[in-house]
Amino acid sequence: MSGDHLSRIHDLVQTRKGVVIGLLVVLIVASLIGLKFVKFNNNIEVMLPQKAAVQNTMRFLREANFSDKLVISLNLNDESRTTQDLILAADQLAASLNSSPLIKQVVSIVSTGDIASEMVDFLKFAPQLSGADVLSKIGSQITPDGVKERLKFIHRQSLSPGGSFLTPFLRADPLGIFSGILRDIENLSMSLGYEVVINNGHFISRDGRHAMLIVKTPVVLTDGFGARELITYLQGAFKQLPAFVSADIIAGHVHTVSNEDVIKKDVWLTSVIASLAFLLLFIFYFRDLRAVMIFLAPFAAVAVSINVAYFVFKDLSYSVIGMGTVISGIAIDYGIFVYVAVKKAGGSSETIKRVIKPVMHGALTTIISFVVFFFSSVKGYHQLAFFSILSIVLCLIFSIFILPHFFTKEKSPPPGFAPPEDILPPDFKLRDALCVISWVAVLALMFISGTKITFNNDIAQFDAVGPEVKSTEEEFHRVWGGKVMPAILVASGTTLEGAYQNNTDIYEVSVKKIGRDKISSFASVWTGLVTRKANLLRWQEYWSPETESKTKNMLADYGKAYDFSQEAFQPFFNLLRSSGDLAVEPKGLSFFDRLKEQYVVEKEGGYQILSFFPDEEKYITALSAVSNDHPGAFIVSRKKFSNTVSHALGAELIYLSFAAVVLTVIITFLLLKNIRLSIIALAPVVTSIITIAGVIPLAGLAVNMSIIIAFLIVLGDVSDYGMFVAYETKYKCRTGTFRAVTFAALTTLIGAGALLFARHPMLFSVGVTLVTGVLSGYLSSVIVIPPLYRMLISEKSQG
Amino acid sequence: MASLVFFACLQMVSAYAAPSPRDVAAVLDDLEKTMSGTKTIQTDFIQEKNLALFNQKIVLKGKVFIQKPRLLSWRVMSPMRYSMVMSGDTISQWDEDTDKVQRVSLANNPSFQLAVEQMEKWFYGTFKSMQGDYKITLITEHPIALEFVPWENSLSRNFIKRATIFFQDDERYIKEVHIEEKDGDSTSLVFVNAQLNQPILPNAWEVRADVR
Repeated sequence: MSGDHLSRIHDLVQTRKGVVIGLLVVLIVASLIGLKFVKFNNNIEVMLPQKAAVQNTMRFLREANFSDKLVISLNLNDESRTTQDLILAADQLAASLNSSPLIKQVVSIVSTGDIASEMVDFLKFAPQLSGADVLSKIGSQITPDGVKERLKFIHRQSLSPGGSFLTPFLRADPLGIFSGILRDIENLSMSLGYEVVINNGHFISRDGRHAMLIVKTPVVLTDGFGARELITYLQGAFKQLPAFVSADIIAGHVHTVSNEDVIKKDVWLTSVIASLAFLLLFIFYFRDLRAVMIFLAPFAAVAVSINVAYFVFKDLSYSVIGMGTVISGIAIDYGIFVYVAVKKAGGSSETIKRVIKPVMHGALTTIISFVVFFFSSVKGYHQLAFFSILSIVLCLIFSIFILPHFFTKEKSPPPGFAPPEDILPPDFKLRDALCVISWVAVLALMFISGTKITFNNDIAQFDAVGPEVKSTEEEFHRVWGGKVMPAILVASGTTLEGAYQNNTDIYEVSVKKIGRDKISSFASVWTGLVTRKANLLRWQEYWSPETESKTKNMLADYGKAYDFSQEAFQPFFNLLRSSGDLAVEPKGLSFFDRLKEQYVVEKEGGYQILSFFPDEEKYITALSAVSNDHPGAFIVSRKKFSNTVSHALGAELIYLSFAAVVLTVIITFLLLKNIRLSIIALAPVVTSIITIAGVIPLAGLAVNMSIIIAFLIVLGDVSDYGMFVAYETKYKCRTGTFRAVTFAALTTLIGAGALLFARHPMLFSVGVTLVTGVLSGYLSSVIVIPPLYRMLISEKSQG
Repeated sequence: MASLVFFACLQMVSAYAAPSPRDVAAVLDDLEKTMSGTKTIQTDFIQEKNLALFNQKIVLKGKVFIQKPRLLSWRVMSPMRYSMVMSGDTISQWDEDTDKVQRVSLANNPSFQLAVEQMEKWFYGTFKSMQGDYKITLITEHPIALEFVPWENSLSRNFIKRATIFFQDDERYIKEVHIEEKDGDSTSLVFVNAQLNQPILPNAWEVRADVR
C-alpha cells in the first residue's frame, strides 16, 4: 500500500471523524463486555511441544491421575493430646472433605486385612512365581548341612522375642526358598519411601504425632484456577479442626498457586513502579493529557484481540494472553512516533504521509518476527502469534489513522519543539570514526563475554514457591521421609494379561541393566502368564516324589534334635503341590489388591503397569534403551520430563529466534531496497543480540526460555528504532524521530526496568534481557546510526 | 503401605474377664503417672511358649534390663543362651549356637522396631499410646489387670487374639503377660525379682557379656 493510499485513508477518517470515533468506542466497549464471556484456561499443556516423549508423559499424567493427588499432613500441637485424639480429628476431617465436588476420594483408613495369613496363602502361587534361580538355590539347601543350618535358624528365631509371630512363615518356608517372594512384596510396598506406621488402620508417623490423609481430586495439577479453588476449600475445611491439630498440604497444586501468587505480587510491584515512572514522564515530559491515549491504545487493542482470538481458537491460554499483552506493549512505539510527529510538524496529512512509511515498515519488521511462531509445534505459540500480531496491527491502525485527528487543531509546530540541528561540527568525521570505533569495541567486549554464555534447560528454575511452602515440605519430609521421588517406567498392554507380560519382559531386562535393588516392579510379585507357565513346568519337574520324600525325611530326622513336631513343616509340603490357577490372579488378598491399585493403571483401551526406579541420569539412560525396545513402554521422570520439555522448547525457540532474525533482515532489505541503508538500520538489532549475549553471563544468568522470548520482544522493538532513525537520517522527515525513539525506549525501559525488582526468576531474567536489549538497541540507534550513515553512504547517494 | 510393617506385628498382651466399673482411662492415666517415675528396671523372667512347631512346651529363663531412654537388653539363659541388646536405633543379637553377633538397624527391621517399642511401652506404662491399636479393658482393679484386644484395622490383629497384662500390687511394674495368638499358639511371661531404679551394670548392654 503506497503512502498516497494511506494518506487518502487518513483524509477519509478526517471527514468521517465522528462516525469513526463512535464506531471505535462501540468496538472497545463491546470488547470489554465480551471479556466477561471469554473462558481462559491455565493448562500448561498448550505451551508444551508436540514431541512424543512430552505428550506421552502428559497423557500418562492425565490418564493415570497420577499428579492429581494431594497429601494432607495433620500435626498434633499439644503435648497432652494423644494419637487417638489425632485419629479422631483425621476421621472428622476426612468425613467433611468427602462431600465436596472438588474431592474424588479421601483415603484415611487402610484395611490391613489378615496380612500374615494372606502372605502364607499367597505362597500357593510360589511354584508359578519361582524362577530357575530359586530352584538352583533349593538345590544347595537340600543337603544335610543345609537343612541342619536352617533348622537351627528356625529354632533360634522361634525362641527369640516375638519370634513366635514368625512361626507361620517358618513353617511354610523352612528352607527359606520363598523369602525372596516375601521380601519383594515388602520392598514393593515400601517403594514410595514414606515412613508410615499403621495405627488403628490410619497412616501415622513413627512418633505418633502426625497423621496422613491422601486426597484424590478431579482438579488437574496444571489447572491454575481449579488448584486455587481446591487449596482455598481445603484451608477452609482445616478451620474446623480442633485447636490442637494443624494441617499442611503437600501437592503440586500448592506450587501452582504459590507461583501464581509470586507472579501476581511481582506484577503488582512492577506495575506500581512503572506507573509512577510513567506519571513522572507525563508530568515532566509530555505535559499533555491527550497523550494518555497512546498508552491506552495497546490496552484497547488487547481487549479487542482477546475477543477475536477466543472466537478463532475457542480455548485461550491464560499464559498466552499474559505474554501477548507484554508483546503488545511494543505497539506503543507507533503511537509515540505519530504523536511526536504531529506535535512537532502539525497534524496535517503531509505530516502523516511522512511518518506512515517508517511506522508501517517498523510494524512489519515487528510482525514478521512473531509470524515465525506460526511455524512452531507448540499450539500456544500459534495463539500467541495471532494475538500479538492482531494487537500490533490494531495499534498501528489506531496510531496512523485515528490518533492524529485528536491533535488536528495544531496545524503548526507548538513552541518548545525546536527544528532539528543539521549543522555538523567541523571535526564530525573524526567524531563519527571515534563513535563507530567505540561501538565496535563495546561489541567486541560483549562478544568476548558472550562466549561464556551457558544454557539452563531446567524447568524447575521457574518454580518460585514461597518460603512457607518450602519449609512445610521440608517438615513433611522430615516427618514422613519420601523426599526423593522415583522415576516411573511404564509398560503398556491392550489387555491386563498382555500388560503383565510386557511388564515382566521389561523387568527382566531392567534388572540386568540396573540391578534388582534399583527397580520396584509389580513383576517382582506377579509375572506374566507365559513366564508363570514356564516357572510352573520347571517347578513340577524339579519336585519329583523322590526329591520331596528326601526333603521330608531330612527335616524330620534333623528336626528331632530340636523337638520339632511331626506336623511342623507340613504347610511347606502342602505348598509344593499347590500350583494355583494359572489363569486367575490372586483374589481376596488385600495386600495384593493394594499393590495392584498402586502399580496397575486401567485406562481407556488398555492397561499401564508402573515400575519405580531412582530418578537419576544413569538409570534413565539405561532404562530409556529398554523402553525403546518395547513398544508402548516409556519413562516418566521429573528430571527427564523437565529436560525433554526444556530441550524441545529451547531448541524450538532458538530456531524460531534465528528465523525471526533472518526474516527481520530480509524484510528490512525488501522495505528499504538499499543494502547499505538496511545494514545501518539493522545496527541496533546486531547491537542488542551481542549485548544481551554479553550481559547474561555477567549478570550470572544462563539462557533460558523466558530470555529467548524476551529477546524476540527486543528484536521487534529495536528493529523499529533502527527503521525510524534510518528513515530520519536518510529522508530528513523532521518529525521528531529521535525524540520519539527516545520516548519509546524510555517507556519500554520503565516497564522492563521494573521487572528487575521481580522476585520470580522468570520475570527477573525477562527484565534483564529487555533492559539490556532495548537500552543497547536504543543507544546504537541514536548514537551509532547517524555516523554510520555518514561513513557508509556518501552525500551523493543521499541526494 | 500396610505391609510396610507386616512383619512387625509382634505386639503382645491379654486375657479374659468382666469389665470393671472403674474408668479405664483413669487407670491408664494413673499407671502412666506411677510408672513414669521408673528410670531403670532389671528383672528375671520365665517365658513359656506353647507352639505348634514343637512337640513340647518350651520354657525359657532369663533377664531383662531396661533403662530410659532407649536401652533394652533381653538375655535368655536357658535352655539355650541368646541375647539381644537395643541401643538407640541399633539391635545387636548373639546366640550360643553360632557365637556370632549380628547387628541390624531398627529402621530396616520394622519387626524388631515394633517388638522393642511394644516392650518399652509396657515397662514405661505408656498404655494410652497403645489405644490406637488395641481396645483396652480393665479386668481387675486390685491388682490391676488389663486386657488388650486388637482393633479390626490393627496390624496386631493378624497375630494376636488377645493379651492380658497383670501388674504388681504397687502398680509400679508388670508381673505377668499372657498372649493368646490367633493360630492357637500362646506365650506367657512372668517377671520375678524385679529391681526398680537401681544402677544397671554396664556389661548388661554388651551383647556377648555373661550377665548374671
